[in-house]
Amino acid sequence: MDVAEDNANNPARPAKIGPGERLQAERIKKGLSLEDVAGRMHLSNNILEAIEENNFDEITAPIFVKGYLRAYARIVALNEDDMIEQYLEMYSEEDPPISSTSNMVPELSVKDARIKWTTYLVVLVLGVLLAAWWWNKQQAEEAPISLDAQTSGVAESASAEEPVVSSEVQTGSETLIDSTETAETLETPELESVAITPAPATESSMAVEPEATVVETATGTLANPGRSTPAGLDKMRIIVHADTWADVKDSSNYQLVYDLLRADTSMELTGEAPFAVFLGNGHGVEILFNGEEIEISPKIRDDNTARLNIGG
Amino acid sequence: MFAAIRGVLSNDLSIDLGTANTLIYSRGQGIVLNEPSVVAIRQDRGPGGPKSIEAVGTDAKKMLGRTPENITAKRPMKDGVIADFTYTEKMLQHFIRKVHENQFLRPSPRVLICVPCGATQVERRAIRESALGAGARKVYLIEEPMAAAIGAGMPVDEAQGSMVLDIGGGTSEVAVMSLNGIVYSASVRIGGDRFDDAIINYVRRNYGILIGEATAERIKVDIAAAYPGKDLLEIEVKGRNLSEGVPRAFTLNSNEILEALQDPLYGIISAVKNALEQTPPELGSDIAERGIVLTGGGALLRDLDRLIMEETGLPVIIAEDPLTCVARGGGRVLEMIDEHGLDFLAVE
Repeated sequence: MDVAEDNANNPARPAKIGPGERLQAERIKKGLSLEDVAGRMHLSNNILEAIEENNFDEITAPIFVKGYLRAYARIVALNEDDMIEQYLEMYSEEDPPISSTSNMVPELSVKDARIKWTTYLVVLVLGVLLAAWWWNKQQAEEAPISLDAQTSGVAESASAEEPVVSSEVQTGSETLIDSTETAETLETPELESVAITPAPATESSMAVEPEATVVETATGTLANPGRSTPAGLDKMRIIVHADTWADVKDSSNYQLVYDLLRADTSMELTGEAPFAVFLGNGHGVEILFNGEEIEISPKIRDDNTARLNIGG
Repeated sequence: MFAAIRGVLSNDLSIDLGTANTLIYSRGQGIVLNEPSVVAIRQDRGPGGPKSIEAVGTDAKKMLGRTPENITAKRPMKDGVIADFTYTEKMLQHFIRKVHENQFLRPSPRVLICVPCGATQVERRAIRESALGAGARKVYLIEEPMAAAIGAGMPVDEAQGSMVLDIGGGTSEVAVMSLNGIVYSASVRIGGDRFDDAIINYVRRNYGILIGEATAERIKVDIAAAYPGKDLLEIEVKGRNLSEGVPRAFTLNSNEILEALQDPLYGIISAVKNALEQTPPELGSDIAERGIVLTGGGALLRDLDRLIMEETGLPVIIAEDPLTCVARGGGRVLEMIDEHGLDFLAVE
């Protein structure tokens, strides 16, 4: 056979022997032609030639190369695994990224530093978020309380002012008498409170109400945004002794108040009379219309509500 | 938010939820689980009593056909799809937990599951639901032959036809792919289980002896061949003689098994021939030049490549590590989802 003679000197080649040469040598030894093998493998001759020349680039994917090598090895009774091993040795760079489970390298495990740090980070962020939420909640809870505290604080300071004033007078007189004592009083913390409080002290009797009205009128105007109160209109003052629901409308049916009014506050409303007033707790409210007190009690019903028409 | 944290701590999984075996490929770790899809259920206090899982996987498979009255060993998958939803879910849950054994948080991985291309919408939905029920955060579905081809390392992204034949436990899938898409696919409900059944029937018919599924499988693995070979293999098995009612030992040889397997084998061959008939000519010529790739446990049947080669006249190649091709291919797709999006995935 001429092919056999052509390749008879091939095994003697000094170069590194690839799987192709070994298969070819074995085929020749067995006296098989290329066509015989190609026919048994149902492959075209040029693919087989490419295999025998170790020219695996012509065959697209490594899986086919391996398959052909195995089939060829089986036909010429060579060890299939040896062939594959030899092929992989020579062309390991052509190996697909995923070939077998055995040579799989773990990329990401729980012990991985990346995972560890991500976890720490997430826990940290969670902690910060939790703290922020808690702080916000605290703030929200304190807000309404602080208003009360403010007013009660004013009331307390108002009651505490009288002795302070007297002490101021005393210390004033004492400074005239003894300068060493002044030094002492200067050092006492009381003096500081004295220095701050004189302004409310002058109107100590009114300190509670004006403060509260300021707050309420402020909220009142807030409740009616966009409505200016021109001078010369009717004025109504609601003094609240006990918590009550109030709903006040002016002549043009504009809602001036629609709110729960707290005890010990007062509210001044300006608008065009007549006012339609609805009070949830008539006993706890005093109303002054343009400075005159309005008699509410006859209008109070059994359920404590009162519906009035003032200035009509 | 907890799901996201659990997600960071859980590995993405590709699951080959097969009729015979379930394989799990964990991203970056390779195949981490390969166990039979079998669940053993214990039901004490008679019918209607509380049911509990006795064993799953290998342990449960040992119980197949050997259980007392209060335990049922069951294969929740049939013909590649879910036959028993609850037990499939329990089994998946067990496997996912097993893969994440050393973690104290309940794992919540992204999961890619392979579905037979012949599965109906209802069957796909059932698989998705059971994976979600088993704790998956997100479920992707992929057609089994696509995963098998990618796992085998076929150049499916090229403008060339690639044909893959995946012979699983319940189904055989044949598909022609090109440019990351399936051009033709078909699924026949013939697989390893049908081979076992064929052996059982053959033995009963010709020897009057009843053998169990496990024995039939052992015969198939040890001596079965799909093409007449030179050497004759023999195996001694024991079964119950139907007329005498007593267990008897007897010997089977590989030629007898070859005869027994003719029916299912030709079912597969005709599916392949149909596929070749339906394939557009350009792709058909690519396949004729490079060959058909066999994957799945069925590819391990001795000389099956030879049989298909002779029947079709095309080169046939058995993929490396054919049992794990689908799971590995799924894992590969999971990695590609992040890079390229959801090109490969099956629609529900």
